[in-house]
Amino acid sequence: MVNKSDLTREAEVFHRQFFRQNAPKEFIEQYLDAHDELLDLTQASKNELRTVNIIIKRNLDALGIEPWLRSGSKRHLLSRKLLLTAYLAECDALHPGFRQETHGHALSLLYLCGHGGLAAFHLIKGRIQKAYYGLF
Amino acid sequence: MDFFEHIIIGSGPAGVSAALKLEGPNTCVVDVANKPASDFPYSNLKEALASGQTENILGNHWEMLSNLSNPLHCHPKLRAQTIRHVMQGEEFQVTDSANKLLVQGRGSFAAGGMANVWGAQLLRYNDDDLSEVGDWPILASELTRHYNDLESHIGISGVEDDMSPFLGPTNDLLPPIPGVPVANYMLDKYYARRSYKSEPGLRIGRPRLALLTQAYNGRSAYNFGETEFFTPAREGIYNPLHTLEELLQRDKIHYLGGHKLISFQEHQDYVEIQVEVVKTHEKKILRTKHLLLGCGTIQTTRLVLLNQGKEGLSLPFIDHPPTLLPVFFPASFGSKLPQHSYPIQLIGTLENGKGRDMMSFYFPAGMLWSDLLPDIPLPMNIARSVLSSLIGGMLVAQIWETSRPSKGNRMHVKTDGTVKIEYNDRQAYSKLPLLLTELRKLGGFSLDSLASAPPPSWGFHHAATLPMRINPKPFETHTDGRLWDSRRIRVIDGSVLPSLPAKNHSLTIMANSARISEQVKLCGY
Repeated sequence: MVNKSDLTREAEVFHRQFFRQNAPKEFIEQYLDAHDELLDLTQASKNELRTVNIIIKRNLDALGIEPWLRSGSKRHLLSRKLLLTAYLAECDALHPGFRQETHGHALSLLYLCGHGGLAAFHLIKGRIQKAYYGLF
Repeated sequence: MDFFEHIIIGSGPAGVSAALKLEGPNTCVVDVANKPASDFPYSNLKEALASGQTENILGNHWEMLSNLSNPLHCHPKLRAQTIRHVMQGEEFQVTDSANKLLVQGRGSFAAGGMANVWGAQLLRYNDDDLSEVGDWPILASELTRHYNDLESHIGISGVEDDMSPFLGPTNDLLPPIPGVPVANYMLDKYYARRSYKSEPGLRIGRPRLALLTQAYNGRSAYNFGETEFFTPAREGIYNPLHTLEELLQRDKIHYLGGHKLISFQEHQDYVEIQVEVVKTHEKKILRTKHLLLGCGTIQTTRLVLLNQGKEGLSLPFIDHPPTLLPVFFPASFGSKLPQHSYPIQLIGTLENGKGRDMMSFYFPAGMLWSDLLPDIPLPMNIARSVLSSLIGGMLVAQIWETSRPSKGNRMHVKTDGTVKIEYNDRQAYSKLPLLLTELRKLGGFSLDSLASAPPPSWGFHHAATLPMRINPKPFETHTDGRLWDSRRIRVIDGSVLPSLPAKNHSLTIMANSARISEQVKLCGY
């Protein structure tokens, strides 16, 4: 049985890390609803569950850790939950963090360079946290 | 008891092409005819996203998230709630040489068949194709008249350009689909380069699509709403269902929807078939002078094997497993996203090296951006931001090569009636380094590490299980479609194609079905 308060906290943490804003009420409701219905979000190995629990408890860099957990044909539980976060935001017309829009050529090149640095920072941080806490 | 001149099983491309050729009061189409339970209530994806109605986009039961655990669980085009009905046919499994399960799939019982989700590229085979692939007992010229008739019926958009020698002649083309900025950029670079270099390494051009860019034959033009991942082929994209409905409206055929073929028995003067009413499971017997099986390669072959009591017998099986390669055009990064577009933007072929290939260049319109995040090797929040910059300058190449039967690729029916396909022999795309070089000349960049190979049967280009031969052996077919030992039972779908050139086989399945149906008319019995 999925613990609703744990899931609510999870939704809040993932949303804040993804979009740097608090999660709207509707987002949390949909996050919980998806967990009620989708086995993909609840069926997981002990390692996967432990990884997600530690990330939430210690507010680790979920988005920096997740790429290091990608391997094989089956996605890690953390990947699935973060993807759910992305899908829910994308379908929310009023969500400020997710728009299908572009920035023009010059600005795009600037963004790409800037994001390169940010990606490196998160990936290094995530790698260190993954190793330190023994996350699999 | 109902007695028909012709009974056609299936309402997909093969079945409907046969119905068009054999239309008349004594022709009956028998069809399971699954239809969608609901409709996608938006005319375009932007409207859907603006609505904020999550359940309409992701499904009442989160159907669009069915690939959360395994990205290969379900083809991305088959996830949506309104498309689920397309894949409710017979189950099949595809395994590799280690008996590892690659794909758990189903055939189609949908009205219109797999055409409900096709990309609508309808291309002819020509003599170069057939001589390169080998093993065909008929000439491409035997299909020409049927290609002409079908193209006139369907309406094909495109343009005569550098790909015309590869694609072959065609009837009057409707105007081509609108190009997105990155595709126009690639094409402009190609033409600029071609003006001073006579022999291009990579030849590209506009696609030929069964997609109406203007009203045609009483059908409306396509609205380019980018809903291809959310709804079956809509008005403006050819779906055999349109032809079926026209034939029914004009009272040109009988139609038994909601009926499934169970078995068939050939007698001297007729074939007796047993069908089941899907809703009630009631059984019915029909008789016909000629039975034409057009259920799709896997389902037709399964029926033939079961009818012969040959569970366990393995037959050759081929597919066109594609190679996918994202290509980035930095000059187009940040391009404004088009308001209307269609995924297939360009097609191409590499002129150098051995063997023919064909690539379709897709613009990732019509997909949720979240679908693309796991493929970007970055934290997902950064990947989302980076997508805004990249997507306007991105195309995905889907590449096919010639496909021939090989010892390691076989299909059989298990004792429980399910289909197992062993797909052990698969060649990696051999010309990738050459393609990368040629793409760079057109301003496109990629890496061979970004290439991916979806599993076999992914694209549903199935064929060769009951191949046409001049002198067929058991479980092969005559060139007029008849099973090896039959006078009155013919196969009209992809099962009979002995090998696959590096092109979509949809139009050839339809043309061959029409050719076989014509033979039925002329057979004299």
